[in-house]
Amino acid sequence: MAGETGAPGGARVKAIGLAKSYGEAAVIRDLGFGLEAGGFAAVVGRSGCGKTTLLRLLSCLEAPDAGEILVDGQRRVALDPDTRIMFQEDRLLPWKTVLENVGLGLAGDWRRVALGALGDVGLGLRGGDWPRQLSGGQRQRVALARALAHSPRLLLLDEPMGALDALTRIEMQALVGRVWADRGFTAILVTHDVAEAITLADRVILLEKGRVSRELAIDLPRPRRRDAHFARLEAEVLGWIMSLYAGYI
Amino acid sequence: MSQGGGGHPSVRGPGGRLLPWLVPALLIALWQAASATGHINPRILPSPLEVLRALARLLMDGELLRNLKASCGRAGLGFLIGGGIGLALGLATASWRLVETLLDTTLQMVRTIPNLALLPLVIIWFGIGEKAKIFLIVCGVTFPIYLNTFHGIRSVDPNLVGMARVYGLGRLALWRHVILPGALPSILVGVRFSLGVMWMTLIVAETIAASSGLGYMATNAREMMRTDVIVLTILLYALLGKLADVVARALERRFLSWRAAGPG
Repeated sequence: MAGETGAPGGARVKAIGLAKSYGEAAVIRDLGFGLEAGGFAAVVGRSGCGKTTLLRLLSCLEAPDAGEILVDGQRRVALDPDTRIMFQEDRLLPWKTVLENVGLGLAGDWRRVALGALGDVGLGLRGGDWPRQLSGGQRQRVALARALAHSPRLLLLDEPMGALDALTRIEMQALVGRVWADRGFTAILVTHDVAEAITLADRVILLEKGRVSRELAIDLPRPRRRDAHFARLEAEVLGWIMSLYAGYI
Repeated sequence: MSQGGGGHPSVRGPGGRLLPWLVPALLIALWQAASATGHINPRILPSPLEVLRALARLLMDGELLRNLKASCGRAGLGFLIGGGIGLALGLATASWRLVETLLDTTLQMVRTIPNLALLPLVIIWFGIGEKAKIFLIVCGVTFPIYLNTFHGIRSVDPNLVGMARVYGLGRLALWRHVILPGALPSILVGVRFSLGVMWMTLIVAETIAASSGLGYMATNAREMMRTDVIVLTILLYALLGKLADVVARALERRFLSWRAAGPG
């Protein structure tokens, strides 16, 4: 399946000196980080720290004012079929069936590819339904299948679990972790949920006022259990964020 | 466009389907009874049986079919041309800012003119030939379709458009898979509305200036004091209006079935 859109596996990502302003407000300034092929990074930070803007820059939905994005050493300037985004909302087309939604933008034998991706998220039997017949969690799984159907080498996740209830969110996290391990793409997750970041990522990046202020490697074995080590890491990251807040209170 | 409608509990049981027809049936029965007992002067209002007889007579001599064909032909042609123009204008103004800036103010002004106000001018221009009627229908049909197409396209969720771009849809595919289906509910509202405008325009135009068609048949009947034919024409209008509505509903069922499905 991966053969159609490029080499299988993950993409190596590097951001150098990124900057982006909207009018007077500088949202991203001199931001840089690197991520090895097949890595999973979680970007955390308080609201308005530029998380979502960073994701829009990485996907080339918007062009940076300065700096560049290298994917496998190549400079990225336009939307790329190797990169897919999962949004906060499922953004399914209500007038297309679940299967047609997953097959959106695929060429050739799209039904087979779409059905395979739907099976991967455990919804192989719901292809003929309309999106509105599914629950919120199921719809978000369809959105994940839609991203997977393109065999992306870089998957950008913009708080895709933010709107789900607690139990559905845990299921969804497990699912994302499993498909990432199976398929080996590079993933960048933007989230405000520190536990989610530590559950999924092997690196947590703290964003502060548009810059990377800290990074923490997560060396827990997978699948991750919420043991004492987990709690210690979670407390550390929370501590960073709270210390940021302290400056504002 | 609610699916359930009203909030009243729906009537169930085998009688539920027939119940809407109870009142019309009673009214006709009452009408026939009043006519038969001489309570209604047949010169004012003929009995239902006389109307039926008129129907049979006009069917036999081919008069009815000839006029019906003339009316439906005009209505169809006018609707196709007007609908096409409205759709094209709506697509153009919604897609290109420049076209919107150029045209929208003008179109918004022109649409407030009732199309029937043009009737005297149209008779001078085209006489009472076919062109006059079709022109009037085109004028009436264009604007509801234009407005609803424009509004429908503009109210497509920009998030969906952004998603489609990320998923690599080109301009054409974006229109086919996202923008047009998103605008379709609104366009079909325009279609339904303009079907109503279409019949009304046709009736008035044919009553005033025509040498064939249902409206002409009614006007002709008035000159001969044939109230039975006039009533028959009115009933036919009701029937044709209902038919147009059924077609519009069928279109909605066909193309908007995704809206009817409930959470399961």
